[in-house]
Amino acid sequence: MSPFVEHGRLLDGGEIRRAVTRIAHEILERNKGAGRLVLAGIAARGDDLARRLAQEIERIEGVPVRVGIIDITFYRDDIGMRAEAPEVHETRIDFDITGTTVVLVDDVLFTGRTVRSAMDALVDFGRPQAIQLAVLVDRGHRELPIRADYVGKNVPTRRDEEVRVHLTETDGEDAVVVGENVPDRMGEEERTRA
Amino acid sequence: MPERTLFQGARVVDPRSGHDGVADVLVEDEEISAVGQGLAGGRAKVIDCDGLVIAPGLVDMHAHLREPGFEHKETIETGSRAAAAGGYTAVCAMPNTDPVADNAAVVAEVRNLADKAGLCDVLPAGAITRGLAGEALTDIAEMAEAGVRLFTDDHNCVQSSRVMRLALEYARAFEVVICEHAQDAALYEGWQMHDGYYSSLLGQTGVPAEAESVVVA
Amino acid sequence: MIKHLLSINQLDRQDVVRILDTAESFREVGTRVIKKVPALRGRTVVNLFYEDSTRTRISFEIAAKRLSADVINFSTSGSSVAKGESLKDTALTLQAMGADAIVIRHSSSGAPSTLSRWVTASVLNAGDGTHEHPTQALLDLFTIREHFPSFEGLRVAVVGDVRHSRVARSLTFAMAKMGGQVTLVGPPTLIPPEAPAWGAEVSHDLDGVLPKADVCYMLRVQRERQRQQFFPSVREYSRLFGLSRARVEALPETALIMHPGPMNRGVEIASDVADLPRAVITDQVTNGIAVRMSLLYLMLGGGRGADESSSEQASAAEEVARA
Repeated sequence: MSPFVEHGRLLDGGEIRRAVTRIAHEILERNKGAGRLVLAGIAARGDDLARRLAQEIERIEGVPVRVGIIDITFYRDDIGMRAEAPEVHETRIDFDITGTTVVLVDDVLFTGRTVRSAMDALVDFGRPQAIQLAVLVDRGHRELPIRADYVGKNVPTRRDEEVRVHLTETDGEDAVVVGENVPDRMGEEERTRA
Repeated sequence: MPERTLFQGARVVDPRSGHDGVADVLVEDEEISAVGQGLAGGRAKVIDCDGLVIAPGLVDMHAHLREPGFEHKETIETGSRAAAAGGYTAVCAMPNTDPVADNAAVVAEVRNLADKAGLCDVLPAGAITRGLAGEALTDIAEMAEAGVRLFTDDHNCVQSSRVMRLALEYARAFEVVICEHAQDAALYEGWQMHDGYYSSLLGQTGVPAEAESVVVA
Repeated sequence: MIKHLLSINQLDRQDVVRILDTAESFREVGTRVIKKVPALRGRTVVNLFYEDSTRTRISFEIAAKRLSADVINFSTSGSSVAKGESLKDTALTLQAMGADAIVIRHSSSGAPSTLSRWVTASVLNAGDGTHEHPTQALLDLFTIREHFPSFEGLRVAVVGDVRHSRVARSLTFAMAKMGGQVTLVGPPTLIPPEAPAWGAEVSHDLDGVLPKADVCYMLRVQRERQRQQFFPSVREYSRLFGLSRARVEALPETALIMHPGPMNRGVEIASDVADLPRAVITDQVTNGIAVRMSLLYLMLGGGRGADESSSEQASAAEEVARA
């Protein structure tokens, strides 16, 4: 692991909490309630965020929302380009998604490749009526025509910078930091996936 | 009241203790309770053994009782009788009967007939190969369970070293003994006497000692 | 991950855990409606089966297809092999056609190893002679792991024709690697006297071993072996070493009954025993697909031709394991 040099903190715990609450409200507003809603978090950390969103939605609307986890490892477009096959995490969607509105949840939106993989994975489970995307941070530099429906914070970054999201569930604290890897320049999505 | 018998004045021979001399033997309730000179019998039945020998029962490890199949030559009963008359309390019966003692059923029959005769213990030996043909192993475990402790093909010495090896290996798992009547069939062909000076003189087909040692090697 | 899977001994404990953990995810894929992921799209997997085998070949075929790889089945009847083509020429042909992985089953012990020296594709041993069957051992470990939290100290009885069993060898090595304890049970003619050196205990008394076994693993007994006089009769073998209903009563309640298949009902395993819930034989088959997917993914999911050095390391490991 090459050393990560932090340049700054983008969001602290309180700001993350408020962003999640706001996104929950926006999801409910746009979909006119929680009727056909399900959340699918993209492992890793996307699933923790999805669970937090589900809790918020339930608190606001009084309706429980189902949450699934998607691991996109098998759908990556760069399999075979790295020395070792990428590490695999759990996928679990134990409900039918056909006819539902699936809100994909991820921590950081960058090139868009992860989201593309997630949609590929999702359609193998059924035929949703609609797919929407909620992210905590959108840092730009899209390489595919993907955009988020719900964004916690827009953060312009340099291509060689890295945005890391820490969540209490996995990392012991809530924070979004931006920094640089010296000298290894792996794609950010890989790093946050680990 | 124990049943007592006093055998007086017999020549008592016991290899284990080295005893060989005239003495009295007192038997109480089917057990020897004393051996000595001038034993007092009390109310024992007295048997005068002057000129007779008392010894531990002899065991014949290799006897042909010929039954089933060759009852015109011998039966288990006549064989047991001869054995008992000669001081043998146990006889090991070779398996070259007809049918061959290569399965638990024949073994059970031999034991059955021996019990009926009731004259001495008969320990049936089992064949190593079916029909003594030297090719297929017998159900050694099953015969062992039926009481067989010794396996041999006797005069039909197993010729195939592979079959013999398998028999020896297989039998390791059970507490039995495999015996070989060491005789190489090819070298034994047409044999009349030992191969040496006299066989050459008399013009007889001789069999060399190697015909036996080769099998054991 | 190693480039070739020729013997279980090439894998260290961490590799095994990684393979089994990854197989968990592939097991989940098997529960979906669409049992397919695009992970190995564009790769070509060749099944090179010199020995008849429906179950293993199909298992590998399904595994590769669920990974979206292209599968080619090369069976030896009516093929160039029947016309006398040597293994080497077949290998070079497959190489020229761009195979990424070759799954080989062969009647000669060591054939996969030899093959791996002639091709740049990854070679997976699907069973070579009486030597090894590493993917079987891995799927067995995976199945055992579903029922027991740890391999450490686990007691496994492997019963039957050990001498001629590649499954017995791979499983014994695998269990030893993971800290388990194997007892090989069978007649002395079917257990090589040197077997304790593999890291196992030996017993000829099945009834003595069963009460302490966590897993009772029954090997298939071929009738051919009776013709070759390794035991006198099927009846005697069955009485001494067959898993009868009565013997199952002697097993601890939590013990598993396993069999690599295909079973000889009535010989090594009684028919009603094979159908008991704790006989996890059909689970073994299901898990075989997940484990083989895991292996193909881990071995091919890395860079193409990335590891010249690791294929050298793999052969060196084999050398050492054999020494």
